[in-house]
Amino acid sequence: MDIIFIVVVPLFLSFVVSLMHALSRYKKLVFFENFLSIIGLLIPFLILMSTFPVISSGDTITYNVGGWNPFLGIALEMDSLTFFFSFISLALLILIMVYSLSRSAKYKVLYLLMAAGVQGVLLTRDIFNLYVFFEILSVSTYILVISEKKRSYKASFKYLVLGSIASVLFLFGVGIIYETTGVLNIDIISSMNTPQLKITFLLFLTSLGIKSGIVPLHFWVPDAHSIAPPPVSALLSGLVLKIGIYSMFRLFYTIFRTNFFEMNDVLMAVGAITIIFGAVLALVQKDLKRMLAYSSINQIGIIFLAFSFGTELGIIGALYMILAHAVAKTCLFLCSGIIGDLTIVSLKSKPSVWLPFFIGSLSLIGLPFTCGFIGKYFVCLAAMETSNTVYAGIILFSSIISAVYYLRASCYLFRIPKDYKISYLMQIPVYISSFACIVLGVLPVLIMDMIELAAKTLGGVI
Amino acid sequence: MNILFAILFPIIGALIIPFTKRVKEHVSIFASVLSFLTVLSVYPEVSNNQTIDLYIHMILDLHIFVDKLNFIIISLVSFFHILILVYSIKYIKKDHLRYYPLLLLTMGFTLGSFLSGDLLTFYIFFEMTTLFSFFLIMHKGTEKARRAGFMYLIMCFIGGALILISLGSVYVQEGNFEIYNLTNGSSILFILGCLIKAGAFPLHFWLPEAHPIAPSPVSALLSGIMIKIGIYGIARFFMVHESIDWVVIVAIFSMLFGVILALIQSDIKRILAYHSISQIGYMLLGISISSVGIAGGVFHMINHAVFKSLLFLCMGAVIYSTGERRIQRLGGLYKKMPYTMITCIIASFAISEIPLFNGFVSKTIIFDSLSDNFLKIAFIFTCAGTFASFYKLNRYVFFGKLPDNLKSTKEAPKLMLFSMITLSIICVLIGVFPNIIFKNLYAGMFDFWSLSHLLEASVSIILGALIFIFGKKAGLFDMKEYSMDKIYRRFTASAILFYENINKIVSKDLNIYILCILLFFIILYFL
Repeated sequence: MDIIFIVVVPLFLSFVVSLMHALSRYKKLVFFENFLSIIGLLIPFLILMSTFPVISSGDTITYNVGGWNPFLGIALEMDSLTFFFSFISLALLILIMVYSLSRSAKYKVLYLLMAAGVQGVLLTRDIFNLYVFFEILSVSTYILVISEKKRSYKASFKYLVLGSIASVLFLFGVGIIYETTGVLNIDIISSMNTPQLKITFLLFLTSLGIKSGIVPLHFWVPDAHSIAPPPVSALLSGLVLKIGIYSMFRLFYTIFRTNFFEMNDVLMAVGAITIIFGAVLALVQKDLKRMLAYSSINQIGIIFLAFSFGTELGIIGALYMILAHAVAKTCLFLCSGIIGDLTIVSLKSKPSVWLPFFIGSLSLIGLPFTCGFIGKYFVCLAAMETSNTVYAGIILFSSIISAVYYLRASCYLFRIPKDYKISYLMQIPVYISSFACIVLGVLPVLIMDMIELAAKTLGGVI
Repeated sequence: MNILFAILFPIIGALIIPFTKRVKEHVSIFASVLSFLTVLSVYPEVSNNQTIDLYIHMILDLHIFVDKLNFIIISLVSFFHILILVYSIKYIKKDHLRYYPLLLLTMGFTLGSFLSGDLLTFYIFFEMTTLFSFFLIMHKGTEKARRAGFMYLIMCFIGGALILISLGSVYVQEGNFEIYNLTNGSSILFILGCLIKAGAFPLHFWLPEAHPIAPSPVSALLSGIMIKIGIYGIARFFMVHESIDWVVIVAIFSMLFGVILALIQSDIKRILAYHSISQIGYMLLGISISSVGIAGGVFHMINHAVFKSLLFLCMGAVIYSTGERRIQRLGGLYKKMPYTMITCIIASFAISEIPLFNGFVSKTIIFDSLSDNFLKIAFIFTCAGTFASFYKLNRYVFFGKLPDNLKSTKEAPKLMLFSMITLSIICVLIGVFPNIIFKNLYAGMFDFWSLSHLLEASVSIILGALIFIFGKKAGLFDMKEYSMDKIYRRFTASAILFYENINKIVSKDLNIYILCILLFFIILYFL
């Protein structure tokens, strides 16, 4: 099947589900709703896996929408970087969907819409189309965030305003690029090999920085994470932030290559500030989900730092960090959903999910035998390879701070469980993700080939 | 059998325990015995100076390595764990579900760190031992235990971070993790990292907090084995590198500082903890001087593991039976707890360098390898201080007048006594036949019982007795609890306050957010 179905299937099924919900005033169709929402994510996953032989041999798959030449029309392309992100995102989307099957139909509709947006951003090679999919993704997230707590309009309003600013800046950037080059296809623009204006680069950097939560553009992150329902927080942290980072990968190593490597040092400093800021503020949070949100900022800082080194090792580190963070943070947010609300000190006598929580924490601290360690290790090596040992020190410093706050939270969870009834649908994703943390940490070979291939796609070496 | 199983058996045991009911002790002892047997089973391979190298392509590439030196260490380590598990059956009364798996995990990873053949493997196991022993330290769950545990965690993770940076720089330059590739800069980081784990002088302040607060069997493990991981790393370093002067200075300061502070403590477990710092100084001194010194240092490391664990187990028995920890409130227990007294006196003899006990043999080797007169004086003074301090400990705990509230004290349970007596037999055995161990560490012969050594020992004993008499007259032993961690506590408190202020400043006003975005844009434009 063509790769466009990865986008089309969830988009189409989201409308089907909403239609079924409209019908279900007369009949109970919840089972079919659930079935369709899972199918809407499983089919893209299967299509994705069917492209694996081609991708793993180093080739790419291109699809031109409507048969138009990429110069005029929209080109979709699946290469190893896209495959890597698409794989993580679909796997997480399925896991979190299983976790949140008991939620309302509105939730599922928006969820599928968001999945379509995510896959669209990952696949498209057209900047304007990238913007469009970003909007689909953002708009559905805005609503998902407030889908449960009705009184949190103020915080979500902030998110909406900041997200819209990001979109506008992005659109400005797209406009300037179209004005100067006359094309919108990323590959064609980058093959022209002309450096772009600095202001264009900064427009994209600021926009994607807001989307991915780089300090000092991070303000929406803790608020949105703490008001969103736990599975949505997991999505925000595991996916939405990463999609911003992905777009940076995609754009900065191609169109803005020269600008990016000119500003390398500044970007590294921004990454370092993000790391310290996230770590330090996570330490003083009382609310578990806010703590996890600040920890996400910390991890995003590490990823941003790693990929601004610009070396292949740095990119490998960044990609592994992305994987590790997505898996572990999903696990923790889903745990926090099971534990319930929410201040760190009042966790006693809640249902026990301490083992997955503990494993996820270890992975985010970056201790050996978990996937976070591999990422941290590669990033530190990349820092030392480019003789930026200070940055390696900062990363390790932040990991010590995160050890303090995560283990403090885990200590409260080390209680004998009370028998609470939690549905298996909620437990299974938690256990799977924590298991994945360990498997990827003990056997990184499983995914290393794909990551190296993706790093080569970007051609990282300065 | 494959040596890897020595690491795996305890870990598998730890994973099984949560699914068992009421036989947690048995499962854990069984796992540790299996691990011990696995270690013994490789003896034929290492006995004739061969080494075992094992490469595991699991997390990156691990390298497991056995030679005669670490064979001796791991066999003792796994044996101690059996004894300590036996001791724990009676001592640990609650939270078995948490205690036994953690202890087994610590055992597995400790064995791993002694078996590691390169820096990366060492680092990985180093971090894991820190993590799990952290939970063991906090076993009691009180506020004080949590504070000590986090201090331990932070310090040891800083040590781990230093080691990670040093191994990273080796990897970036050389492409491997061999310890002989450490250059000047990275070797400082590596040694500092190990010194933190070992609790040497300027970086020691976590040790007297963390070791006493843990349950006694865990204290025995921490002082007996865990801090030796750092010493082992440094020993491996000095086997392939030139000696470094500042390590000798650190060693001397640790020796003197530890023993002086131990003299003025009144909590029985804190006394032992400060002596660990002092004894770590001996090992460092031996390791950083010469090749015979390295053998002496490693030998002392093994001996210290025996007698310091024994001391902690004895004090654990005292605390178990009486519930008291201050020497002022104890006394006259020789009638009530005779076996504990005998084992404790044997251990005290061992630590304070009485001939025919195991402390003597290793200390003489270290003393013999010293050339500088100043070092010798410091050495003798430390021995004297150690003797005085243990004279004080035994005098106040087991002799003197029995306080009224301890009239009904009973001897410790048999399982606890079993571990203590076994360890004290080892003390005497090594003391009388030191060559059992020493021939595996050093190729040459060494004359343990020469007149000069006996003279040195008797000088330090007489000096120690004088120190005790002087100290008692001057009232030095009745001081209140003395603690060095105030600076650390003040530092962390002010840091947390600072962060909380930042958290408040990060305003909730949308205008400021947008201003920040604009500023970010503008500043980056002009950079």
